[in-house]
Amino acid sequence: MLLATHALVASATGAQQTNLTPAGTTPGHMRIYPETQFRYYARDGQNLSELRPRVTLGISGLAAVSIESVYDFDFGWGDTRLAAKYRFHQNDSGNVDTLRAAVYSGVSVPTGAREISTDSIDPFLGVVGTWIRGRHGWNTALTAHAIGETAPRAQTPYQVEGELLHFDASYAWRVSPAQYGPDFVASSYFVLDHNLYLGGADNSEAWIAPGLLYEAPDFALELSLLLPIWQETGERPESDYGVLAGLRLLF
Amino acid sequence: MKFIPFLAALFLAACAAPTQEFSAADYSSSYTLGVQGMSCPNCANNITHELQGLPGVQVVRIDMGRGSVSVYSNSLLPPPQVLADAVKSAGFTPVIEG
Repeated sequence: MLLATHALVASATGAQQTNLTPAGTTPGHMRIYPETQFRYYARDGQNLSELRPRVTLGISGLAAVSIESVYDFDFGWGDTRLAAKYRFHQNDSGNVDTLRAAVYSGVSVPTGAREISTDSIDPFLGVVGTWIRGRHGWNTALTAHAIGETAPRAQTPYQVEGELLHFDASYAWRVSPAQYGPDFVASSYFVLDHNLYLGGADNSEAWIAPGLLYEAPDFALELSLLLPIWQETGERPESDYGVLAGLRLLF
Repeated sequence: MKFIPFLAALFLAACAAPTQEFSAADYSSSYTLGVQGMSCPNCANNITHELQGLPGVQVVRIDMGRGSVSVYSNSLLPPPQVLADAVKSAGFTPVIEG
């Protein structure tokens, strides 16, 4: 869950968006992009399983809005995130090459079960950049969160009161096809996400997540292994590892 | 664990690209424009969807290798600028050739 929540903020689709890092892309005009991720975190005596559904709507070629929640298999539905994203820079320099940047903002609304809700309206603001060159793609995002209250059973950095900065970076390598041809085919990627959360001495952690992404014209499949490389979680439980499986659809 | 073969079959079926017979000779008019920044299958899908919403456009063919999109019709096609605007609305940079 840790890694994951951020992706909801800004992701909203498409081009080489990796499994755990936002991208500077949006769905096309009035396209709907439902997606969900199942995540399992192995923890000392209290494993965590959750679903993260999200729906994104493309408002134009430049803007999108999204809604996302989380279903914790132990506690039920969590807080709901509402977000908007606007792409302020786009430089398409070749058939596939592009440089894009977007800003996004929104709020987390306390709609969740008492145990895992912050019981506060928590705003966030971020910026993301995407650079795609041939078979290679990079995403970088920085998001600032202001969290009003600590959830009784806080399990993620987003559930602890205070300021939280999080930095995401990812790399995607298109394994297949090596070159696009006249056929309209699916693509397979190796992806590597890095997610860093900085919320003070008792709410900071860093993760790395190698994975695979299969992207067809109208759907995508995600698979990642989530590995913690540094955790200072205070009262929150630490994780040993996690796995992620996701499905994206494009209507 | 009995569901695993079913999921595997479902995955393979989903990944199998449907083949469609297409012949440009079946259409009386066509137009091709370049597209930049079309870096993934989802991108191409966005463009296809946007162009198919235009009146007169019957078939959209994407060539990701050349970075081009062609539209075909047996009636009047929209002007090139309208096609270009649709590509832009999908989030990509159109290049009107010639």
